Amino acid sequence: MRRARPIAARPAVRRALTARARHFAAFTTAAALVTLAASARAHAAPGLDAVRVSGLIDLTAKLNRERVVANIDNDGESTYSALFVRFNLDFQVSEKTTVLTEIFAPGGYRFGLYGAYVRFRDVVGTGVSVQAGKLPSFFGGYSSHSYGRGRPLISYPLLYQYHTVLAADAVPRDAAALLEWKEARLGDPQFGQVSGSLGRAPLPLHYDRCWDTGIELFTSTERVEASVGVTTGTLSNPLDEDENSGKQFVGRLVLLVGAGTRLGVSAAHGPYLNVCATCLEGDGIADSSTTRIDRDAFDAASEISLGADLEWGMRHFQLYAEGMHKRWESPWIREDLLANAYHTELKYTIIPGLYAAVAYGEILFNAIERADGAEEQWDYSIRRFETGVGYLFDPRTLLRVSVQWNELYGVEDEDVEGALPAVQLEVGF
Amino acid sequence: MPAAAVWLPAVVLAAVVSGTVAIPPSAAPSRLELERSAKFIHGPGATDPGFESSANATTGVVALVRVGPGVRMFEPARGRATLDQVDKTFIPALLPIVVGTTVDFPNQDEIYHNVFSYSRPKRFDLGRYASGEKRSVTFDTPGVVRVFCEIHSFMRATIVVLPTPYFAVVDDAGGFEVRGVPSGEYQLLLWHEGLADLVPVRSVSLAATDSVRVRLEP
Repeated sequence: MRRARPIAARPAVRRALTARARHFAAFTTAAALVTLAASARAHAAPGLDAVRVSGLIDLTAKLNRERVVANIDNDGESTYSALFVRFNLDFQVSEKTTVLTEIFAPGGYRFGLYGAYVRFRDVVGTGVSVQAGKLPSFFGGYSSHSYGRGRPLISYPLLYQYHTVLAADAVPRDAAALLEWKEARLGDPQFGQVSGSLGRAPLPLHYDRCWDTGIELFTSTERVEASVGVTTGTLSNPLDEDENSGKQFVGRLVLLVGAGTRLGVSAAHGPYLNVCATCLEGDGIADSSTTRIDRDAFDAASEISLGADLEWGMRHFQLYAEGMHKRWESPWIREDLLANAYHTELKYTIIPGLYAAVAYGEILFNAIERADGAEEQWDYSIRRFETGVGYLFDPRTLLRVSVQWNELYGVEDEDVEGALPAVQLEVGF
Repeated sequence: MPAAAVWLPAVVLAAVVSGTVAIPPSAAPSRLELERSAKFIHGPGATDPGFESSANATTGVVALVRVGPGVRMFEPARGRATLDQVDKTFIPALLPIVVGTTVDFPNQDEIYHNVFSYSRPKRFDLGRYASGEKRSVTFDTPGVVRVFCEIHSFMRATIVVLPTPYFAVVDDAGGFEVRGVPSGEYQLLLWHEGLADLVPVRSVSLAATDSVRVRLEP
């Protein structure tokens, strides 16, 4: 199994559900989850509740046409989807052992298990904790910002979601082929979806909407936090099962500098191509720009990620900034494929519960040599600006109103430019 | 019973109301909720001392409110109470106060905290402030105020703002005792972790020197 694609890969099932049935299913699901959550709490043992259901329901109204190329994930969903439910079914095994799950239900009726892992807290009194299973990413600092009031605006940072033209399941036969892929993205309204017209799984720099499988050890002191781990996939291509012979090694170190500044650095290295890269032609879905490669080259094609992040706060201001350097090796392209990306976010609390926020991010790609000897960036560099306000009615109910702009450098394309205003209500249960 | 010590009036002839409360098991804080929130404070949340103290904090408050014809509201308090931030823990986790009390929130950790509440009786957001600094909030409406730290999501406390100076914190065994209560008709109010607000549980009539024991089952 590659990246989790619960039922999205079953178009017949999707078509069979009418809009009314989907809405009914969505609301029934939400009601059942809330009821289950309340019931579990009511019958829990003191201090050691055996099971807990919780989650978030996002209801979003777009006030303009979505610039689809810039926001969607592999399933065609995004933080702008009209209804997105994610819930957690957690189990307390013992005082220090917990099983945590993350289940996504885009549209409220398609379910997919995106995370399931066991946490052993403070193993044998060493101060070291261990998590194993399908884990949230521990590279970078954004994991703590993707939920609830940690995410002040509607969209994800580009570097955690935006798809490049590079794929995990197809290998461009040369630089020219990759540049053909680059041009093709402009005419593809479904670009980024696994089931899109290109038949490839494009790679984000860091895919936060899909979790990787592996093990993580973490510990902390007053001033230092550290994590190390091994996973089957990579930041760009998280996997349920290993599909190449290599593993990704990930490390993260956070320093608490002064009273209110957190400075984090992260690094990851691992092979990113998956088994489909060697079988495309056999499956009949290859086009002339892909090629079969041998197993050695397949495993040697690695992805290197280096990141730094900063969190700073004072009074009612909060700043979050993150940068990432990315390097992919592609077997038939001489140059490494590089991307440099950053995201900055500033939030100011105006009155209790009401805040204003602004975010700006950019991804810049390096140039590779074309057949005619000239150099060209291997993908369109992009930047995103988003600003908006949010209001917390209570800690679990958040209303976000924001406007997003995207710009692909060197492209005048109305599909990716123009304002995207939207309103989102997020309810926790 | 920190605030009670300040506000109990000196009454020579006064009743004592004591008893036990059967707080349901579901009123305990959810360890799983804390585990889930700790996940996103990567690493430290799951091993912090503040995590354990938040997970183990559970208790309740019993208060007596005078009722009946001709009863006057008592004068709102003008005193102060303190909710410390020490080792990423709010101390005390439960702070009952009388309406009108000003609560100080000193930060005694070496790191920033950001104390806030979106509870209806009092919405406030103190922003981030450093070690040695304090912020203050006056609570002028009765009710239950849930207090959090915006940075350390496992830090939780509850301030119960009471319309009476006669109250007690329920101990770990479920026992409580309210001393110095003048004679009269009273409504007993109860709050514990499993309740959104103070709830009336029974009435009691007190003579000047009564010593009454009650068992409360919400």
